[in-house]
Amino acid sequence: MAAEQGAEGFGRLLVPTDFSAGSERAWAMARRLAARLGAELVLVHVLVETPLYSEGPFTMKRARDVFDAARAWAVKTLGEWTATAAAAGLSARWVVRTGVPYEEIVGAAAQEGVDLIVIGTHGRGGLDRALLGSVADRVIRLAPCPVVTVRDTE
Amino acid sequence: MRAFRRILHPTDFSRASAPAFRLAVGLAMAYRAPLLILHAMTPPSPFIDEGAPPSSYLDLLALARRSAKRRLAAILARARREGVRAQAIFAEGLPADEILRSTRRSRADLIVMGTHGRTGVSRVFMGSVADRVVRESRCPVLTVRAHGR
Repeated sequence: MAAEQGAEGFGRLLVPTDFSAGSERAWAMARRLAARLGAELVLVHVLVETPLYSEGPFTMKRARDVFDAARAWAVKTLGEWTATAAAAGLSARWVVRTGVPYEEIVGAAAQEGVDLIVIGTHGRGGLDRALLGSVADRVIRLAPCPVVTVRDTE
Repeated sequence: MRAFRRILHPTDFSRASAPAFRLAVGLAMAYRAPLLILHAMTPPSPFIDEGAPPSSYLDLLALARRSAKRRLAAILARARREGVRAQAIFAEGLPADEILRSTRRSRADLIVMGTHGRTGVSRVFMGSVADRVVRESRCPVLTVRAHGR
């Protein structure tokens, strides 16, 4: 029950990443939180299935290759990010999911039983200020736990 | 790694604020950071009623202020009982504006606030105050749904 939570109840933090600048800031924030609270960090990256077009040179095989390459790159980068955290004495691991990003993030939060999500937003000045980033926006509304939003620009 | 230096917790005294208050206190303890507890009171609208003298509006305003300050003092006392260095800020205006203004002025580096998350259809409505603060705040915002899980 969220109502009973205290900061000492933060055992596990979920950090969704799309490897953007905003995600990096959220990751830095999460490491700060984890260091102080002794929490475990779980990075999650959501792969979006490549749409399939059966015409022309873009065959099923080609789509599969693109997806596999994206996955391999994500796995490599997630490994690097977690290694950096581990080198700083933090407990960190990663998961990759495939699907609609906000659904997978909320799903990962529930499945991993995390106590907090730390997510970057695409906050910009001026008109774009209204655009929070639809992923962060939906995660805040649907997450089973508290959410920290971190803007990608100062 | 830099710790949080100052945590701001806006409260509207509602049940939606309660889980956020507990988290704010917990984080202030974990980071040994001062906790600023802000209540932004929206002044009651002057009622347009030919029978009512202007003094009744002022009475109402004074009553609302007194009541809000009393509740703010009660929350401040609760935070201090937990051993947190807490300070109360009473503001008047639109809550989102006042929260953003107080965050800037106090140089708070984390906002911990509740959202009116409900179940079912209205779960998609974040609460307009939290919504604006999340969009416009330059510092991280921790949102806590009223009925999580």
